Amino acid sequence: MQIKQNIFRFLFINILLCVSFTSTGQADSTKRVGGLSFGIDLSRFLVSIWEPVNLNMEFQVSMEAGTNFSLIAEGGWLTSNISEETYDYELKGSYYRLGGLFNVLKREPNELSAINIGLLYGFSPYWHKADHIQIKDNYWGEGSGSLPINNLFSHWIELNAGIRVEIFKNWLIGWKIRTKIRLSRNEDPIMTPYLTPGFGKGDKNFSLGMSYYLVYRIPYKKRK
Amino acid sequence: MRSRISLLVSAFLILGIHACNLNKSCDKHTKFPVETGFYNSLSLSLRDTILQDITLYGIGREDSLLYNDIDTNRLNYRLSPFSDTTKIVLHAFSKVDTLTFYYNRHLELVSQACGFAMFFDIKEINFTKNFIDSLFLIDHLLDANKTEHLQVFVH
Repeated sequence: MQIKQNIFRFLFINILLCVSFTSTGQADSTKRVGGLSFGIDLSRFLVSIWEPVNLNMEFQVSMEAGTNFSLIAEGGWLTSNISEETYDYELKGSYYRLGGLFNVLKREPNELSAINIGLLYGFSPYWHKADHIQIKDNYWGEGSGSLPINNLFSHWIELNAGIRVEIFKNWLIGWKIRTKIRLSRNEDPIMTPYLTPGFGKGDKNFSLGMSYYLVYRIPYKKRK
Repeated sequence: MRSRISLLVSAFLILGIHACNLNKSCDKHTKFPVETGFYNSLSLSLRDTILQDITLYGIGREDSLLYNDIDTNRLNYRLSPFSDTTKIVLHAFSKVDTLTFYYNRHLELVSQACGFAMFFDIKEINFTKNFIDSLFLIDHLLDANKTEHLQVFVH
């Protein structure tokens, strides 16, 4: 009888231990470990191919605030100097975007690849000026002049969508398409700005853009 | 994972190449003439009228005629980019009328290759009534893609 009881006790403890280990393992693999990500927009280095931009740098910081939701802050600056026979033009400014990203990809708990849809608010303070502008008209003649520095700002809302994949542990690369709608701006009554940093063409109220970015992620806890 | 990276790289290349515009020549409008059509004010339907021996010039440039004794129902002329007012004189039917344009101007850097262009926003047009009956301003911004900005009805 005592032997039978010992056998049952041994089996019961073993089953308990098995269940305990199994359930502990499942909990770890189903919990997502959040993280803080730092990124750089690589496409900004290529902007000068299609726009007269001398320097455009853009960085991002994002924080996972839920299983499929992240808060993101982006910031950058842009300078444009154009010197042509009939004008000199200079524009400089910074830009900032704040918002959230929502992942729609079904994924494993610790998979970092994502298909994101984002909604951001954008803001840019900047200035521009022009010198030695020559206007020629075959009938009315010629004129020249300069326009001094004018400080401007612009606000917009951005809806973006894109994908990102993990290429090495905690290193991600991705792209996103950005659609931007201008909310407000202070107008320069004499000269329309050529660009709005972080937005696009200065004379448009709607803009499409694209970003290719590299991100390093620091997990809150060590990933298994 | 590999297929995902392939997809990403493909999209990068296709969209990146699409975005590149290496054509640096000026392919945009930088002049915005007032395209003007002439119509018979007595006609019930919109019927254009050939003006005979029309002469046109701007006040301040009387020495340089834009049109001289031609027969046409359609003219174009530019507003002065150096003033907020332009007066255009028309001789037709042995009579003289003057169109006075009041407008706002602003400069815009159209592109690096095109340089700056002056854009206009017409606020008001006054006119004398020797042979002109009325006007109808179709496009106050003088969109270069439109074929007519101003209709002049003559009697």
